[in-house]
Amino acid sequence: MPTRAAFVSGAAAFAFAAWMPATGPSPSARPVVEPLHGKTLVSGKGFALPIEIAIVGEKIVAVNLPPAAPIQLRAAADGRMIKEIGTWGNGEDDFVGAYHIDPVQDKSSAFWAYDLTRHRMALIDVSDDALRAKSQIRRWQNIRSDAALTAPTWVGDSVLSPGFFYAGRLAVFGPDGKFARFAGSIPVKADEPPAVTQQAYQAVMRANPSRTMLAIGTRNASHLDFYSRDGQRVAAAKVPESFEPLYRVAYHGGEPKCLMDSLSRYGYLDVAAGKDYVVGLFSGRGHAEAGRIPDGRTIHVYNWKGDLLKTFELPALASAMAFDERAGKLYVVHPRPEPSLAVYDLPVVAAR
Amino acid sequence: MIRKRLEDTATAVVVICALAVTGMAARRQFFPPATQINGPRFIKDWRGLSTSGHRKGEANTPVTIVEFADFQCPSCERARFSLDSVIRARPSEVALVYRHYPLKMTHPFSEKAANASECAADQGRFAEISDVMFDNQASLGKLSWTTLAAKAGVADTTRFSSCLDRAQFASVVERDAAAADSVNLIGTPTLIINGSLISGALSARDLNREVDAALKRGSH
Repeated sequence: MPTRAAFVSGAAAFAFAAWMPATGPSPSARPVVEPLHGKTLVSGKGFALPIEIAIVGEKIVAVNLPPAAPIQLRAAADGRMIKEIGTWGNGEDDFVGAYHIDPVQDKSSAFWAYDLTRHRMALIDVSDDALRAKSQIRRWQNIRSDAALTAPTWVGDSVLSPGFFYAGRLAVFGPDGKFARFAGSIPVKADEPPAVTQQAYQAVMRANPSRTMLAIGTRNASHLDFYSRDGQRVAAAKVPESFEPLYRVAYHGGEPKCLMDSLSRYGYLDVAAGKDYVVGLFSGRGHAEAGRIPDGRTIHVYNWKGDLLKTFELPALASAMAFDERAGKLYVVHPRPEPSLAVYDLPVVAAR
Repeated sequence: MIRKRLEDTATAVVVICALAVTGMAARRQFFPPATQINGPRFIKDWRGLSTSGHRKGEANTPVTIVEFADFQCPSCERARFSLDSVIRARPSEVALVYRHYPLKMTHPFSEKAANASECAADQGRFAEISDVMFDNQASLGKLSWTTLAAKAGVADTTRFSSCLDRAQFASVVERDAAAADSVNLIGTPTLIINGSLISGALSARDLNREVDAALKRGSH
């Protein structure tokens, strides 16, 4: 007998399937902001505020700061904790700065976890067998980067990532983790140190399931760009607002630094890339307004041509999200009043 | 907290150019001090790292500092003063071995500068061009390499130019970077003091303390 959860999930999947036209999504003529309705899966003591979440099969992976475990694995259906993975420390298999999750292509039971401080990615197996084993870490891949990377992502046998390097939008690394080249571009400003521009235009990035496209959201501007797997920009989302980062150049210890203006606004705090849709968590809030935890409550849904299909509003401010396109569900981290994980059904697009 | 904090950390990476130092600083600032997770590492095979590179100081000193550095890194520029003062003050005890670790993704002219220094070294002017590079750090990529070589007293600037154009000593720079990779360095300057790996620029006082500690440990 099907459970209630299965029924709800099935209904949501049906509704989402109805939203997706057979010929692919097309732009809404007149975007309207619609409220999202959902439920809290977990909150309070049992839930650390994650840096990032991702969907891996039927599970939600959260990457945390200490003292919570570096990685927490939860059931997507009800938010129940399945496993805490990894340890903090300086040992061979320890994390120092767990930061980003990259689900393995075509696998529902494995993902890469990136340690920003140690510049390496752990391949983590969360199959049923692996979860019974002592460790789920299968191997480590060093990424030979001398600049901070914000979202290393495997695309074929390369790793691509935005980061704080001096040129391009993406750094491309070979299968051995060696730096190969820069790709793409960010706005070039005359007489401004490139490192400062990179900091101002720092980005979040996700690959679609087939790893043919990358969605790159700019955190301090209203940009959402779509790149091909070889690192070329192929489209830009038609974002309903338009703003650029506000900042100035300062020098600290001789190195140029980007100092964000308090009037600067947050743009895309998180992105999710599906087969047909790109979902962005958009803030629009000022740095001073948002405070220490950047947050936003607007969800933009685009097609890969960059057309804005739907705009939704979350009932509370959010700091991270993940999108399960197959099930039509959006998982959202709300930092306040206490950290919580909620799930929302994305309703059918009315006008298409 | 969350992403903003880590991005602040990442921003600091660019600011001080020593990633390991940044990680440690961020951890001290944001994370509970219950566990020390990024303390000094010991490199067992450190002697192998000191057999190549440019030595400053006497041979056979009981303490050898292997420095991995980048001519475009401001922290490296600062580090040279404390290194110089300690080597001058304790000539029979400490020597420095300079090795290249150009941060190619962060500093656009670091690799070229490293190659240029090797071309100058080919004419016996490594120490001099090293000082010239650091003295003119903000102008690297703007001043011509030949001008820098001339300032360093490189006698044959035509030969220097030809050397640089042909990247004659690129393999030397690559060998140094590979050595750095072999011990998982993630930033500059990194000092390996008789095997004890320390990230970031040290004051002369702290450097003296590390040298004393190395002397106490004895040679490994």
